[in-house]
Amino acid sequence: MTKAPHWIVRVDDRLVHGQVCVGWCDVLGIHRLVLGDDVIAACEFERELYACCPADEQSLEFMTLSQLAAALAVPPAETTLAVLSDPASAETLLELGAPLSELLLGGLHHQPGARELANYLFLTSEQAACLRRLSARGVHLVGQPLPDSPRLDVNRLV
Amino acid sequence: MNLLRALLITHGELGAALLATAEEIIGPREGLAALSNRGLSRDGLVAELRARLAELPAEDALLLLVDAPGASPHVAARLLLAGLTGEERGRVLGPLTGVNLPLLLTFLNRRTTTPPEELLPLLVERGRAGILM
Repeated sequence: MTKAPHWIVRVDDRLVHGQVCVGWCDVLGIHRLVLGDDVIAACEFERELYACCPADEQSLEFMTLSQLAAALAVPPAETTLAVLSDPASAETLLELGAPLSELLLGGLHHQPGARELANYLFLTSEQAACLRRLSARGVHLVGQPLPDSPRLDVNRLV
Repeated sequence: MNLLRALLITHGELGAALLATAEEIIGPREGLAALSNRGLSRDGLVAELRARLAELPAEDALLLLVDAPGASPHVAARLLLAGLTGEERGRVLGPLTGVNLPLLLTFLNRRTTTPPEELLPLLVERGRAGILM
């Protein structure tokens, strides 16, 4: 049975890049991407940087977190992947009233002091605390860089 | 300009493998390096690029070659360039996307004899010409 069109929300500090466009969207036949980020939505140079990654059949929209929160409240006409730069953006979406039942953690790379949960998932203490707050609010946290990757239960690990 | 160097910024070990393969074909060359995006965030990769640029000898220039357009190596290279000004900006060329063996071999054979304003279009032409159906 085909799943109804739905939102997939992914945290990835590389934002829209090869793994997202080729490894995820092309494999699953997802043609609509949204990059939710206040800074990028307001910067023409940053928008142009990411616009050349999607394939011709894929569209990329840029939204502020406020715009994305409103969009997430409505079922999409087609399955759509929304990309955020960090867990704090997901928390902002919740505070803006967005329904968020599951958050994919697709890539948070190493930085000083960060704890490794997987080779694609390193959390600073601030990010871990943020994820704990999201977990307490009922968000299912899943570590998964690619569709075929094992789904890591991050709620248990933070 | 003393020497036009090249930095291949790619996924995985593609850049290092391309350099090793090119040198197998035409022999060792100086001024070549590869940087993988493995394990690096967007900002981490840009910081690594800045560190590489800081090591560039004063009389040399650097061509940035990346693999896939719009992927994280390309984004990082463009962010690096956007942050450069004046003389430093003038010493960095590219980025060219879609680096392949014909493009790289042409670079290595022509970089000392072809001025940059002619070399870059030539590299694009040779890279594209390397794809046949």
